[in-house]
Amino acid sequence: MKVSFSAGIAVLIALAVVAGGWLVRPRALELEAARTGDAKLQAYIDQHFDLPGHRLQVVVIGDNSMTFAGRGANEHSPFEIGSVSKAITGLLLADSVRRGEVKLDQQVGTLLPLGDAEAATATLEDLATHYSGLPRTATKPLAVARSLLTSLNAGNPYPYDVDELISQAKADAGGRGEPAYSNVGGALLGQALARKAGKSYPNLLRERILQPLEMQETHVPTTEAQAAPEGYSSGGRKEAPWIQDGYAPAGGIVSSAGDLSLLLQSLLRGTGVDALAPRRDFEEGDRIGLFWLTSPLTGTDRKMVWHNGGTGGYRSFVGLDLDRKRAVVVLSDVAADVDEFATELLASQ
Amino acid sequence: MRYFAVALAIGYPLIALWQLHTRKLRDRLDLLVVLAAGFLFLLFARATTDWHALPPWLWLIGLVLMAAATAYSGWVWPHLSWLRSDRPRSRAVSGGIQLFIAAALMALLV
Repeated sequence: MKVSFSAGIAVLIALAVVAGGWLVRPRALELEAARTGDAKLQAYIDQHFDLPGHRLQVVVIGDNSMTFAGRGANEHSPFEIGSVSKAITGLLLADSVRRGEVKLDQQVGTLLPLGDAEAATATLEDLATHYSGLPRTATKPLAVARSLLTSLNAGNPYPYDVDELISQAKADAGGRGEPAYSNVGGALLGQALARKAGKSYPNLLRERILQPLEMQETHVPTTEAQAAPEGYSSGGRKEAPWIQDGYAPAGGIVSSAGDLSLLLQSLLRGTGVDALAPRRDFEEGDRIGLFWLTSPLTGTDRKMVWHNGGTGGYRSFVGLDLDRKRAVVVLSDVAADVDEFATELLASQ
Repeated sequence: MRYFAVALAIGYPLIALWQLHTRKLRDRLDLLVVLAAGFLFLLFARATTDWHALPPWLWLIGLVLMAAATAYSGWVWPHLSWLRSDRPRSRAVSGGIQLFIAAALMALLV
């Protein structure tokens, strides 16, 4: 009797485990059914997008045209754009240089209170080309622990303010001379430009990029209410929005496909294009300008200027073919890389 | 490394089933710790695996195996005492800490 009672309880618990596990199981997400935009571009998505997806927005941009297509989203829908924020910070740097506020060979220590830390001697160009020697993410033990924790609980790994960012950069020293992708360096550069202009980074962004281009759906969220909707991991787990203050210049911007299209179209028309020009060698044979990468456009003899981005629950890609005056934007609220899809789309134009 | 968490989520319940079947577990505390670790590894795999690179049904194998281990423990349970140790107090504290840590991590991972 004792055996059958405990066995019965255990079987019931096991059934509850299966039911609960089924509810939280990782799953292959599929694109939402609701379609928006151009039918031909929708057909392209049908034929070529074979990734886990949920909300998706795709744009093909010419110097006088924009073609949108989306699933569960339209050109006004908010997406976290992750490190595409760095590419925008690169445009801000080029603008600040044009205004005579800063020079590319200026050391960041002249703009931010970095003391005698090794990071202080990195030039703005070092930061914008990932040659600063700073690590990808902060290496202070508490920051590492937090990063590990947030990777487990689908949280925000970059909740730090500007002072904390500076403190992390001061603690991080590294050999200079080889390119090494750095979120710390990208964030530091954006905050240095803001400090020089006497504004916050969100205000600098708004005044110098967003307002001139009438990008009204782009902002740096500082609260949950301003954040983009929760995205998903590649396995379908909901991921918290990445609300960033200090790290906003490296990955904290929320935007829409419509706004990013305005930005890319202005670049196709030649505005601010100096930020895109390659300056140094980067990883895997690529070249890098002010954060903007230049690579061969797969399947063609042309080049592509691009940047991608990722947060806990989002992926993004912007790419330009300056020869053909074509650009693409791909935004997804699932953390599965869209680079290959976007590159093929750009090559097919 | 990419497949480590999934291997753990599937492999560990197999070890748990073997331990149950061969009566390797010392006591009920041991059994609870083994089951808690199994569920922790399942949640760890769910959170850290790139499920675009691996088919999500692999995780369901681990889930079914853990459910089987849970059910099987019902038959083993009456044959075990709560604590079997020369120093039951320290063993209870140690087991309690392990269960607390597992519960905290599971709460984080859900």
